[in-house]
Amino acid sequence: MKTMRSLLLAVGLLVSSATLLGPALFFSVAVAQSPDAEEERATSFHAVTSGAHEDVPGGMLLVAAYAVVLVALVGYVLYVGAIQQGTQREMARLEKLVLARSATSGDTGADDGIPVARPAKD
Amino acid sequence: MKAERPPLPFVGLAALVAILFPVQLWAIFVHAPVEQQMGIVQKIFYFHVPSAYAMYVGFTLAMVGSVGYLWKRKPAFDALAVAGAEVGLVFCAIVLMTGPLWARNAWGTYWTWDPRLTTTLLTAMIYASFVALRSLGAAGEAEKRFAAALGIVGFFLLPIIHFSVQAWRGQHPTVITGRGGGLHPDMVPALLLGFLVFTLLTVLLVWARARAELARHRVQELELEAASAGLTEDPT
Repeated sequence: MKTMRSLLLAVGLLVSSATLLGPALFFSVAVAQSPDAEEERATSFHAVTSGAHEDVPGGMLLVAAYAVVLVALVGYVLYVGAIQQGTQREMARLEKLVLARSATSGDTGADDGIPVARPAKD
Repeated sequence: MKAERPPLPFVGLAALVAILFPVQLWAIFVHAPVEQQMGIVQKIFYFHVPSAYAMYVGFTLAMVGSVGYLWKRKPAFDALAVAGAEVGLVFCAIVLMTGPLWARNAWGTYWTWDPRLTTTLLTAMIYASFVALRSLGAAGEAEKRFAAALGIVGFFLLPIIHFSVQAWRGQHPTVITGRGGGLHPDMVPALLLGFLVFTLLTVLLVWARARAELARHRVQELELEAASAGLTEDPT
């Protein structure tokens, strides 16, 4: 556990340093670039007009992308559900424990719902 | 033990998302036209960009929760930070996976060290560290504070991601920035609907996760109280 914490600390420090260096890099490169240079990337999306056809088949990539979205969202919802179920199970276990101890010690319970433990009799 | 029922606004929000999600799919696949140069794969854009926006929302909530926790030390802020970081990371993962699938067709390669891609990956690493730190069993005060610091540091990368396409010359498209030539008018409703659905979905997921985290925190407190009262020991 201690090794894991040290490892996480080291990773965290590394990432934090990179983050602090990021803005410096960002501004220096931005200043160095000419704003008048011609754009070579996409700056607009146009619709297919009549007679024209798309020339790149991307159906499988599109299906894969939507599958990624679906799996990620459903997976996360299931993960949150599992956390909630685990919490409920733990709460039920605590409730049973408190009731069992109350029954054996005859304690009716304190204001916060948790009975106060009594010292064992000799 | 009976499970606590979710509040009515939460149920209403979930119902709204459930209704709007198919409407968004209709807008993407029926209403919005196919793009001239990229073809059908451009339709990834309608989930990719709103996911990036949802990532910003999630990480901003994580920063708010982190600042609040470092300041007030209240579990509600910690729960907000955890929920925001996790939900933001889920959407960040969606962005980092759907983007390369689009790029395979548009650029001929899945990945390139474009400024926006690189800064997004760096942000993902920071918040992955946050989530990993908080997933190591029951987090102590030191882990919570360190994670909160990461949540704040990571937030400062978000403006860099956002403005990187304008400041750096990369390959990432600049369609909806000030420099871009814009979208075909029939493509706009699908994108706007995407922003709405993903914003509502982010709020819903952060709300659900924060509630779960607060409940877990309460159970941990009760376990400690029970242990200190001698209730967890074997009565024999």
